[in-house]
Amino acid sequence: MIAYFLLQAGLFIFKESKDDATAQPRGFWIVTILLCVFAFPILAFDENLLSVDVQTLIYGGFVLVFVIAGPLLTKKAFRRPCPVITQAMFFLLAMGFIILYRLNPSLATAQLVFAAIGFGVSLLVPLAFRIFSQFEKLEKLFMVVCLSLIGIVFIADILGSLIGIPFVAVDEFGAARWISIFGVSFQPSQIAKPIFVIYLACAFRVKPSMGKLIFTGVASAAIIGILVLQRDLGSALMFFMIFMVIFYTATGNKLLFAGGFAAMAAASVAAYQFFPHLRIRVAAWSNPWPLIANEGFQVTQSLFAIATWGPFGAGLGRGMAGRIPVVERDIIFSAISEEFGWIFGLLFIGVYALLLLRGADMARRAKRPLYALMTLGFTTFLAFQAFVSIGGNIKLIPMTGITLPFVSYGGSSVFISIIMVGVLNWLNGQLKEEEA
Amino acid sequence: MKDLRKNLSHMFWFITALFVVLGGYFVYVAAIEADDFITNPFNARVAVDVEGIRRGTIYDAHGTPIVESVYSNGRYARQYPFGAAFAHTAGYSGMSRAGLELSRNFTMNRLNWELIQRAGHVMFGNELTANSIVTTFDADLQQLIHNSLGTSRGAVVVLDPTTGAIVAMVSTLSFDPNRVTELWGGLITDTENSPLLNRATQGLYPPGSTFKVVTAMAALEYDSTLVDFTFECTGHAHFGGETIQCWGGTAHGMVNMHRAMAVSCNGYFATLADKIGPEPIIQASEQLLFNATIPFELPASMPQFPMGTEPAIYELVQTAIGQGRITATPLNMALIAAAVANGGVVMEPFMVDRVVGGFGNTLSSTTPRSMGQVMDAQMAASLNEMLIEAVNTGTGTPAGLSHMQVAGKTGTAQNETGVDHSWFIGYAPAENPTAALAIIIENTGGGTRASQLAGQIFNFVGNE
Repeated sequence: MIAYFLLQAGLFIFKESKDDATAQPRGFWIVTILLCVFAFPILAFDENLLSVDVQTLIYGGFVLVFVIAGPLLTKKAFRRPCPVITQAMFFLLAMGFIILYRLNPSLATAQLVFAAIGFGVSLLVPLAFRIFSQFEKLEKLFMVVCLSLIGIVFIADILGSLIGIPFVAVDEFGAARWISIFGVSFQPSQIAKPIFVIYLACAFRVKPSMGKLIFTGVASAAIIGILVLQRDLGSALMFFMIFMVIFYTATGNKLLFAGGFAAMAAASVAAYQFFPHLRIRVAAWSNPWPLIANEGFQVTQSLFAIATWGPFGAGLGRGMAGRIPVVERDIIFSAISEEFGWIFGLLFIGVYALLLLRGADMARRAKRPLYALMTLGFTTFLAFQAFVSIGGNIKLIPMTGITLPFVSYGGSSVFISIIMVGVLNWLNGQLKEEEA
Repeated sequence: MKDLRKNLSHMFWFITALFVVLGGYFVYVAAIEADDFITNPFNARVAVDVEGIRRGTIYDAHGTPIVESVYSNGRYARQYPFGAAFAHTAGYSGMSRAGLELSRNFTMNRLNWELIQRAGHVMFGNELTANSIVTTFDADLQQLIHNSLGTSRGAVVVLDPTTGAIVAMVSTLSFDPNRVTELWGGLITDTENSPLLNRATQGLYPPGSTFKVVTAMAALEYDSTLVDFTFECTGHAHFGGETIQCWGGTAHGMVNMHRAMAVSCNGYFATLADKIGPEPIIQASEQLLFNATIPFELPASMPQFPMGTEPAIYELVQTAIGQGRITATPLNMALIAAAVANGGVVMEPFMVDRVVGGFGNTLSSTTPRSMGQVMDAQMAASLNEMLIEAVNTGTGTPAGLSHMQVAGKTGTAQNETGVDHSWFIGYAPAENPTAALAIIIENTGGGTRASQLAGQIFNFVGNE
């Protein structure tokens, strides 16, 4: 029955992707709602004690309210938001809540709070753009903010080690990412992401002169360089990719595009020599099996989770992904695939691809280059982040600790991802206005 | 703006391509590559049986269940009707799993046509039946060999040389898989008998005189006229201050290669090795799967041939008669016999004939696969003659049968325990072989037990 349900879910998603952008993807919405309606009672039910956990049902109730009210509020707050992207986001968020609750209820609760706050703030996006309607003129400011956000971690890290107060938390990949102030910790590099996209879109909204090109390139290189110095190579890769994509789209310069990748390849080789933890990561990717008890443990356990149960999975609550270290953030895709099966996993990848395709469609229809570049930047950021996260889980690329947008546990990540969708929804309204 | 749109679509295609690679690789890992690694001991999921599903049955080639799940007291329990005979091949399923119970673990837990089966279960109460395995074994032969080995340590591999299908594979001492959980503590601590070790594929033994087949092949590849090379055996031969002795110091007199193979003359093959040097022997042994990974369903050790290109003379002549540092597995020696039997072509050994779904439908079946021509047909014919002579008028006479021509080679392997192991490798009927085998019985002090058992096995196979 579950399998049939999943099959139906898949058909809905594929069907919607073909629909006209103006149509409400009600099927997608129903899938999300049904997913919550089925999943939380399953999680609440204890097979051995034959009892039902009320807390789980209450949590499920909140999630249900969120996914039902969310798209309605989006329609109210935005002028012609993109329904497909909105529904895709709520589907992914719902999946995140389900799998996180199954792995660790307290993290799931925190995640729901972050998501709700993020969503609330995202509803203010149209207002913000109305206030700053000439925001493209603030180009330089965006750059400074972006550099500061990235730089503050760097400085705090050095300062902290000088005065002996650890302001900055380091993850298991050796990346210095979180900054804690008065017990609240957040990831400035996450907040920098949308600002970086807006900065690049502003900078490249008209075909740049050589001097401007160099200036923008140097500024971006500085941001990426600081991330590398913080050993946050996953984020550095994300910022690099976004720069390359926007740069190429604005200039069409194939030579520099190829040159950029060549430079990155050279930098990767240098980084490989320089960072011992990177060598371990690469070794654990290229052949994890001899390292299965130590460095290769995470990725091989991730592969076991994906591959053991076949197309229909173990069933919700029956998998063993909970044993993988940092599963809630790094291996969340494998945890989903394990319990829902690889057919579902493939459809799940398809939802990110759907988001990407919808973004492509929006960007093509945009009249202003600024809006086209912003749409491109935000959708590719989300899609590429999904690619790096899932790719690490399935051993296509080395694991980086990049979060899966909307799904992985992480307050800053889920908050910023929702804001990005808010901006995309605002952009969709803008291009509709241009057409009208 | 037109340029921008063109560039935009370049970028979107670029990232879409990344997603295609991502999805493709994901399906590859999850659905195709999966079976290669999910039985890894680090995968805790191996120990999980899905409740309410009848785990697959393992059948022999004639449809006799050798492992099955039986429903009693509200749950399924695994039963092994042949007890210890299949403990290393069908394996066991207790706190851990081994054998087919491990290698086909997930196959035997999976439901074919799951939706239909589940619907039938809900509506009509039908049993949920997971996929079953049909093996190539002959359970009666397996039992016969197991009984015959009795309390001796040893291993037997019997296979069809034309296909590579394993007909019997026995390792002793064994244990009763029905009681593996209660016996476990004793099994893992019994280092003297190592009952958990599958000696047939993982036991590394000096091949002794059975290796003379390899030395003969090396000599004939080097120079085919060496078949007529003669040597006067006095019972002893001297090389660089060391002595090679024939078994019991027997002087075989004037022997050519056929005769030397038949009577297993150590002096002859040592002299032959001295004559041709190490390279041809290294080459022949590597063609015959030494230092090679043998692809097989169960874990198989790599047969070791450590001699380099410039060995001391004593190592060279020791190696030629299957002593020294060289070690072989019974599976490897059975494949050498099978190569001679099959005109020089080695077939990849396999023990799962097909996988059958819950409705009796065949899901996959094994197609015999060649591992290559390891010697030409003429070489195989020539070795065949020698091995016939060994059984008819040489050391292998206890394996001979009145109604069937048996071909083979005996071996007596000296080892660190001081009490020799007894080997036999061979096949029958020699003119059109249907079975090839390798037998080792540990610490028999040489003798004829292995050859006698070979005769019994060929007799059984011939009467089927």
